[in-house]
Amino acid sequence: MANKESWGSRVGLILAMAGNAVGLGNFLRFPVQAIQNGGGAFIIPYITCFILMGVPLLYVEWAMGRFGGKSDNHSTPFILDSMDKKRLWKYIGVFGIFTNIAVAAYYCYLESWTLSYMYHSIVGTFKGMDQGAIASFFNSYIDVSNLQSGVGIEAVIFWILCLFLNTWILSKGLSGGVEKTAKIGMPLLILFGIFLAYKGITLKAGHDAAINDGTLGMNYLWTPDFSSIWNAKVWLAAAGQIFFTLSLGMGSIHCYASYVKSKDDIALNSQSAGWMNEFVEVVLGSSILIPIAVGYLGIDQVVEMTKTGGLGLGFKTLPYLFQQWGDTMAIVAGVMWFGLLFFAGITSSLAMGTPWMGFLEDEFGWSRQKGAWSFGLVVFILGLPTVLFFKEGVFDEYDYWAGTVSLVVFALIEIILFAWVFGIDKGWREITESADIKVPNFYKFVIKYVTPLILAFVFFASLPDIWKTINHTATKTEIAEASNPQILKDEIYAIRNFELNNLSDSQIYFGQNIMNEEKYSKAEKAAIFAVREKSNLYKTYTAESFSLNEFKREKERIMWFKNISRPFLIAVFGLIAYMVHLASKRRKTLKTI
Amino acid sequence: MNTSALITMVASFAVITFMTAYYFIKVLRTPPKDPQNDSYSETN
Repeated sequence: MANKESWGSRVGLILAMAGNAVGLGNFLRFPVQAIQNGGGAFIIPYITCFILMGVPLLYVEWAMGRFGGKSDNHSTPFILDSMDKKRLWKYIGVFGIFTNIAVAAYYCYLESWTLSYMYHSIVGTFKGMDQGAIASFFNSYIDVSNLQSGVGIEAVIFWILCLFLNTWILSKGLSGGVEKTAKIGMPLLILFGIFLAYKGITLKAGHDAAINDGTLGMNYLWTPDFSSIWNAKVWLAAAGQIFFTLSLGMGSIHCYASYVKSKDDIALNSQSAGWMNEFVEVVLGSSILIPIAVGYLGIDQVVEMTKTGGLGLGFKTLPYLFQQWGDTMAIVAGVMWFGLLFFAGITSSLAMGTPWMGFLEDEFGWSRQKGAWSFGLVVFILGLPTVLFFKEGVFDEYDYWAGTVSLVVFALIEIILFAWVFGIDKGWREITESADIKVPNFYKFVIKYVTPLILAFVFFASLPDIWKTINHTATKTEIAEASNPQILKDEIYAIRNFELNNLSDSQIYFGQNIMNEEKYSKAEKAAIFAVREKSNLYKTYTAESFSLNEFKREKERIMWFKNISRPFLIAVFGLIAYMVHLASKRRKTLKTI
Repeated sequence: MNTSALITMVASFAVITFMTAYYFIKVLRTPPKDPQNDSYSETN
C-alpha cells in the first residue's frame, strides 16, 4: 500500500471539508429553492432536514471514512468492504468513485465559466453592454458547437485550463494542494461574500440606477408562507437541498475522513465543517443574488428568471447589474462574485478527485502525480460531451443521474449498511471514539430509524420524477403542446377558472410587482406565473414564424443525446466496477504471497 | 422589511452564525491529544 497522504492541520481539514460542501449551489440554488418553496418558511423543513438527515449522515460518512482508513482504505469500495464480509458492498462502493468523476466531468465546465467571467470582468468585456447583450454573450459562450460565434472556443480553453489547474493542485497532494487551496479559498470566499451581501442589502432605490431597495429582495425571500410546510414537495425540496449542499452520498467525505487517525476527533470536525457550509449557504447565499437582482429588476422579473434556476441570474444578469456601480466597482464586484463562485467550485471539484486518486494509490500502487493526471484525463474524456453538447442536454443528464439520483441511492444504502449491517452499537462507538464533543444520544435512534426513513421517503418520492425523466415526459408534453396549442389554451382556462377567479387579465399579465402584493396567496401568485408562461408558449406555438417540424427535430435531437448519455454513464460505472474487481483479485494474490 | 420576514431572517442568521462560530471556536480551543503522533503533519 503506497498511500502516504496526510492532512497538514485540523483547521485545514475542516476548511477543505467545508470547501467540499460549499459549492455554486450555495449561492445559486439555495435562494431560488427558498423563493419557490415558501420563502422564509422554507427554513423550517430545511433546518429539520439538516438536523435529522444532514447531521446524522455527516457523522456516518466521517465515521465510515475514518474506520476504512484504519485498514488503509481511502475510497468507498474498500471502505464499505471493510465493514462487512459480503462481497457485494465493494460494488455498491463504486458509487463513491463514479459519482465523483461523473459530477466532476460537468462541474469543472461550470467552474471554468466562473474563471472566464472573472477574466472578462477584469478586462472590461461587459462595459457598456446592456442586459440583452450580456445574456447573448452567455448564450454564445456555451454554444461551443457554433464555432462562428468565436466565444465557444474560449469556453473550451477555459475548461481545459480549469481541468489543468485542478489536476495540478491534486498532484501536490492533500496537505500541499487541496488543503492549501482551501486555506486560501475559503477565507476569501467568505470575505467576498460578506462584501457583496453588504452591497446587496444596503442597495437604495434611486442610487446607482437601482429601482428598489435591496431589502425588498430580502423581504421577498424571507417572508414566510407557513402553509407551504404542509406540502410534501417543499419537504422533498428541502431534503434535496441539504443533500446537495453537504455533498452527501458522494464518497468524498469518506475519502477525506479516511486520512484521520482513530485517536483523533471526527464528531466536532464534522459539525464544524457542516455548520460552516450552512453559514455560507443561508447567511451569505440568501443575501447576494436576490437582493441585488430585485433591486434592479423588480420581484416579478426575478421570480420569472428563477424558474429556470439561479444560473441565468448569476451569469446573465449580475454582470450587467454590476456595471451600474461604476467602472471600478464593476470590476471589483465582478471579480468578487465570480471569484467567490470559483473558490466554491474548485474546493468541491478537488474533493471529487481524491477518491479516484486514493483508489489508484491504494489498490494499484500508483503515485500521487499519476493518480492526479489520470483523473484529469478521465474528467476530460467524460466531460467532453457535456461541453460540446451542452445545449443538447448532456450536461443536465449527467447532473440528473450522477449528481442527483446516484447520491440518494448511495446514501440510502450506506446508512442501512452502517446502522443495520455494521450495527448501530459498533457504529456509535466509531462516531464517539475520541470525540471532542458529546454527541447527543438521540442521534443513535435518529441514525438507526429516522434518517433511513427520510432517505427512503426522498428516494420513493423521487421515483415518479425518475420515471418521467427516463421517458422524456416533459419533452414529449412540449411536442404535444406545440402540435396542438389548444392543449395550452385549455390549461390556461383551467388555471384561471380554478385559481384566479377574482383577478382580471390585466392583473395577470401586466401587474407590476404582483409578487409583492400581500393580498394574494402564494398559490395565486404561482398560478399567475403559470398562466403568463403558458400564454407565452401558446403565442410562440401559434406564431406564423414557428416551424413545428424544426421544433420537433430539435427536441428529438435532444432526446437522442440524452438517450446516448445514459448507457455511456452506465458503461463508466461498469468500468469502475471492473477495476474494483481487479483490485480485489490483486489483494487476494498479494495476501497469498 | 415586514415583521415576519425580519424575525425569520434574524432568527435564522443568529442561530446559524452562533452554531458555526461555536463549533469553529471549539476546534481552535481544543488542544491536540498527541501532537507528535496525530493525523496532522504540521506541528501545532
